[in-house]
Amino acid sequence: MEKIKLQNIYFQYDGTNTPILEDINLSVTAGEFICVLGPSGCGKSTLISILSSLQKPTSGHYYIDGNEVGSPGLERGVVFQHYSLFPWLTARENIVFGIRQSRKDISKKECNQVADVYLEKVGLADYGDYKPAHLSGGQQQRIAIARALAMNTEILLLDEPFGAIDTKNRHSLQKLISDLHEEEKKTFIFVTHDIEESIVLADRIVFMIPKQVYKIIDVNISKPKEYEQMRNETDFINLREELVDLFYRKHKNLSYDQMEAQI
Amino acid sequence: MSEPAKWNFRHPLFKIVNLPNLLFLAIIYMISWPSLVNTKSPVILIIVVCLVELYFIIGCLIQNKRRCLDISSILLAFFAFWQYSTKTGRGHSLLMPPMENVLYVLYSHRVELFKGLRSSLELIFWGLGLAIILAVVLGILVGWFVRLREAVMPIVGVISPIPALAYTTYVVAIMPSFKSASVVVIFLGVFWAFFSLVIRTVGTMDQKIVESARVMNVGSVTMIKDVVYPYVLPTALRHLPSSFATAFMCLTGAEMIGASSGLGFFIRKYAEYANYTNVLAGIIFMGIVVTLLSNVIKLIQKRFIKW
Repeated sequence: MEKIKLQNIYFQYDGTNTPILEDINLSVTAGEFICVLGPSGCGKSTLISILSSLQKPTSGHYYIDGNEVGSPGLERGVVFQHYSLFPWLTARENIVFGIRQSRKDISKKECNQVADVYLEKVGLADYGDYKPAHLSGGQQQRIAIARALAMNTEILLLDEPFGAIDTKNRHSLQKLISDLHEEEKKTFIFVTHDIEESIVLADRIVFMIPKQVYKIIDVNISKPKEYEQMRNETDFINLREELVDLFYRKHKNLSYDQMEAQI
Repeated sequence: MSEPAKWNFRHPLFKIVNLPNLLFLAIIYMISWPSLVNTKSPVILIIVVCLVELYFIIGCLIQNKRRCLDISSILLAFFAFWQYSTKTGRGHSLLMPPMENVLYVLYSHRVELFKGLRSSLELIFWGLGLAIILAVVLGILVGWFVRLREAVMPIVGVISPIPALAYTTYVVAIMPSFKSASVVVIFLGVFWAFFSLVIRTVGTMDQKIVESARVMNVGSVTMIKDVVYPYVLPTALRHLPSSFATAFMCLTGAEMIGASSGLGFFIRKYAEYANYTNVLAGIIFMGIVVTLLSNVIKLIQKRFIKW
């Protein structure tokens, strides 16, 4: 079932003539894990801004479940690259804040119970009373993921959430996000510029070049996928090579037509 | 290159031979000197000097804090200078009364001083409280709505730099009672600067926090109550001690014009009789009160703002 549909999306900032996104078309099935991959400055984060409705497209249509979308909604949770927890609330209170926005009728006790379930899911059951300043970057992102999921969202949008995390923690967070996707069966759209991360996580990789979606690649590697197990497999290596090749061409500053001609 | 030598406050020689100890002994010794003018009991002076020495012993010799050495040295040097000047008749006997006498007034006039303090604090409570509450509430609203902010900020920019003392005589003249005039003067002295601060804090709010709330579909009321207000709170509390000092300054200015009670009135009354011993005692008392209350506010801030 089609969950998200982007149709001819154009975006440029007011007062400028340079488009950031041009003619973006994308269809995402419910429960799918999509990774938006591409070099820095290609418009990945702008695409997430549009998907979360923090930015409105200059033209084009954006549908969720067949309904046109124009403003942020509770069916979508967002995890940003920057740490976005409220610093004056504890980890649990941050999650409760999210729950309260989506479920007004729920009691405080129930809210705390739901928050504790999600704290457990992200492996931070003992950190509920900690303020964000006392948590590491990786822990803060886990709480942000827990907050987004606890809101009972159908779609989780993640904008390079592990961008500032070290490699070891990054792999454990990738495993967490992969497990949560398996468990929650929600639609995940994950922006990254890390090729291996996209292969480990995605069902499909949307490869972007500046302003455009250049190619959509199916990741035909069976789940559950883990970097340590996959890194020597032929499928993984081939796909990584293909994506590296796409990056390489981009860095040669080839035009789209030239790239098209070469692939 | 060798590292510069570090202080060793626990060195046995330093524990005995150091500047605060020498100054302390000098002051105690000078107390025994015959005075050229009549002096009151030196007990209060001895207590004060001993307290400073105790602060040095606990802070520097026991807790190893260099800051305590510096502060106690400055205070004791000042006391020693004052004591030497008055005992040797180098200062004007009327304008520079003996330190024993000034500190003794803190004891002998304690009822009058505390009565004045109570009267001053009551006015500050209303003036400062009203100014802070309105500045925070209106500042958040004006700061949050861009159109309102752009309209109000230039006006605030003109009004806020005007010192409140400039209004004082006018306000005292137009208000029906001195109490209401004082409240208005304090309000004006604190409100505009605080209002401007809150508007700027909201206007330059961290967009990560705002976006984080927006994607959760937070409504305007929740946004202001649960996101903007806690965001502004630390900044507001951080500026509270300086606002308190400003409020005290405005009130003292007002009290020196038209009051019949309060610490400013205490100073003015004795200045009119050229009793500078009491005037200096009033000034010292005011300094102690403002410092103590500012520290209480800082403690509250530390207690509640932990992020």
